[in-house]
Amino acid sequence: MIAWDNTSPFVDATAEDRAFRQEVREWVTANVPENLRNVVRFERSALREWHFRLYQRGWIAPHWPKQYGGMDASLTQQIILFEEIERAGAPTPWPHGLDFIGPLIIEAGTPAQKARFLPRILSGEDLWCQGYSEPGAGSDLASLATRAEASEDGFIVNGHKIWTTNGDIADWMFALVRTDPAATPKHAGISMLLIDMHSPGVTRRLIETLKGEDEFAEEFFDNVFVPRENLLGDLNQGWRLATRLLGAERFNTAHPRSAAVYLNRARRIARTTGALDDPVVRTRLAELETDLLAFSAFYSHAAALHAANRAPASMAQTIKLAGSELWQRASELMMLVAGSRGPLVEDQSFDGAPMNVALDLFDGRRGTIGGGTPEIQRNILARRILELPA
Amino acid sequence: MELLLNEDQRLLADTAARLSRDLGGIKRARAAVPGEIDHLAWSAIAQAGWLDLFVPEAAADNPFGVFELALILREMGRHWLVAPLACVNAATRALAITNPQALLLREIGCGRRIVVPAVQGRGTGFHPEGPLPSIRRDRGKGLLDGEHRFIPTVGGADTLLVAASESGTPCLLLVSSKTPGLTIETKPTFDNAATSNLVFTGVALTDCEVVASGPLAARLIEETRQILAIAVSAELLGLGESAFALTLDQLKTRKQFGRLIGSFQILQHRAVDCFVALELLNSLLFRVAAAFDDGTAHPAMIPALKAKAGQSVLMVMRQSLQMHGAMGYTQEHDIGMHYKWALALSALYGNEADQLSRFAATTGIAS
Repeated sequence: MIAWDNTSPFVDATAEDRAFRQEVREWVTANVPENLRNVVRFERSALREWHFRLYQRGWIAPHWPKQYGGMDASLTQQIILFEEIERAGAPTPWPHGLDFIGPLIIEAGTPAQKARFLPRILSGEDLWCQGYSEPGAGSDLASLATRAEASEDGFIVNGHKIWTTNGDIADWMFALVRTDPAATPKHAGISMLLIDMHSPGVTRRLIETLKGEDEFAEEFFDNVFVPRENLLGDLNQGWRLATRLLGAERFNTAHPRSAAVYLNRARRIARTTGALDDPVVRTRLAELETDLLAFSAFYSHAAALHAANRAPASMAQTIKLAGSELWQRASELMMLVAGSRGPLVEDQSFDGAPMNVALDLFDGRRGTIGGGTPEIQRNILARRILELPA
Repeated sequence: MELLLNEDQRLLADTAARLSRDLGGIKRARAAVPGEIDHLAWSAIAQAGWLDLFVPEAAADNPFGVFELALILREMGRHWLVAPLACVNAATRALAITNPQALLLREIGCGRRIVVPAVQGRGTGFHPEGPLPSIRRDRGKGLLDGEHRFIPTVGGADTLLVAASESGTPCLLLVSSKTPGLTIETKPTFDNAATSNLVFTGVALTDCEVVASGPLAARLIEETRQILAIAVSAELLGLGESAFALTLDQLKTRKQFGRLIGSFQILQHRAVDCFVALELLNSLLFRVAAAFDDGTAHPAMIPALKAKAGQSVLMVMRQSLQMHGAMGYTQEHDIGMHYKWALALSALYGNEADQLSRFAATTGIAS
């Protein structure tokens, strides 16, 4: 039997890509910090060291243009970097600066904004968070109520953001705020501000996640002054920027490799608990593996089309929808095959690998919430792509 | 998503779409005599050069593979051109590997002869593959006994490419459908087609032509099975896309409660699930076909593809029937025809449950 490798089932198309993968694999294997290698959990501070090593190697922002310190890498090469980091059992650096706001500043920022923010995103000196959700604005993001009123040389911000990854420790937030309360549709009255989280009037509170870890926070803005030069793009054009942002987030957060990692953990657990002898479990595992193969094929097909500038409008939603549900199902399979060992709080060793089933299970819930729920993706696809009636 | 095609492939896909529209259609499929071949369509297919896709000589300047076969079959599924293209090409590929100069290949290529493969053996139904017919020696004379079951499109064939074995060593034989000792039992299936059992009772080996034996035969039998599975997945995808197009039409025109039914969120979400399933299947099909052609396909990929094809397309069919309401329960509406053909294709060469078991067995999930 030829070994089944669900992490890279299809070979890279070009010799150049194969060589790049080899180079990345060797470097990553040698350079992942020990406290991040195949660990069950990590301190948020540990990620900064890893970020810095990738930065020094010149691989921190493969998708950025060279003139801003990136690599101008093809999407395939970006994916190879991501895959090889995951293969080494290490986390990828936080995406908020590198993937979300960085590309937007490159696209819409002023020369001064680029000079001020981009180098510090690359080096990891500034930690960014995304200020979108509010207590009353989750899926219905455009109904957000945090407002920014024009003052003489900037804005006065009042409001409340919540469910923000790294909101408690971030140096900067890119926030959607209402700058025209009378605008219709409501999307037309929203702007994007870059807010210094160390400003007077900002208070924040850590929110423990289902995993029991520090990650989420909520932030209160009480007459926070934001200088005019921290408006990104034009006034009241924030929604257009934000939806671009969601597009990038979708391509980056639903990767077949994430589900593959969980499925391989499920196999190890199942071998240890005896679940692999169970025909029902085998069926579920086989179903998930074939779904993963289909998603891997779709993902590489999408990457090739994207590289040829021919990616269809449906691509981002399809990736997010299929990928996040697959990842979540894989996390649930881990729990299923763990049986009575699943609810244990302690870390366990399965087939020689350290794991914490609950952490992965709860992490899997993120997939169908962050970056837009599958329900929202389905609404968008139904209207825009299938052109179904309102 | 669109496929990234070269110029030859694009031309092939365009021709396939046009020919399939011109020669196919549900009306024709309904009028077909089960098990018989539409000779008008077949000669047009031969003229298009689709019957020797894998023959190196014929395809000197455009070496086609399973990817291109899948391109054609997807169009045939989309437009209901029902013809044994997959079977004939699977057979010619094996024949071309054993003897690329064979006169038979030219005769097949121009549509004069029809050769279909019989490589499944005596399957029991659920697992369609079973023991191959075997050769015994009677005073030095080789005689063939055994069965091939559930072989499609035998009706139009004059010759069969038969997998057999002698003392456990596999071989491939060319056998005329009129050979003494060969009985062909053909039964109609509900998709207006037919399936055949081939019963060999002391068929003289001297009446057969051995085209391969030993490891080469083993490889060709396996690859023929794989090509058939990929090919039927391509037809299934096209058929699923056709049903989905009908269903989108229904959602945009049918009114209930004073509204177009496509405005209901629950139906919108189900339609999106169909769309996503077909999109993923499309990528999977052509990625696996390309991997097969360049020799990098893991053997588990083919059962994975056939399993997903059956699963996804039958899901689309169930949703489609449901969204057509009572019309989906009638013979006269085309959506029901889609359902029946999809069921028959998904059962062919092993349905999604059988394929999933094979996948599990080839990836270490089950021994």
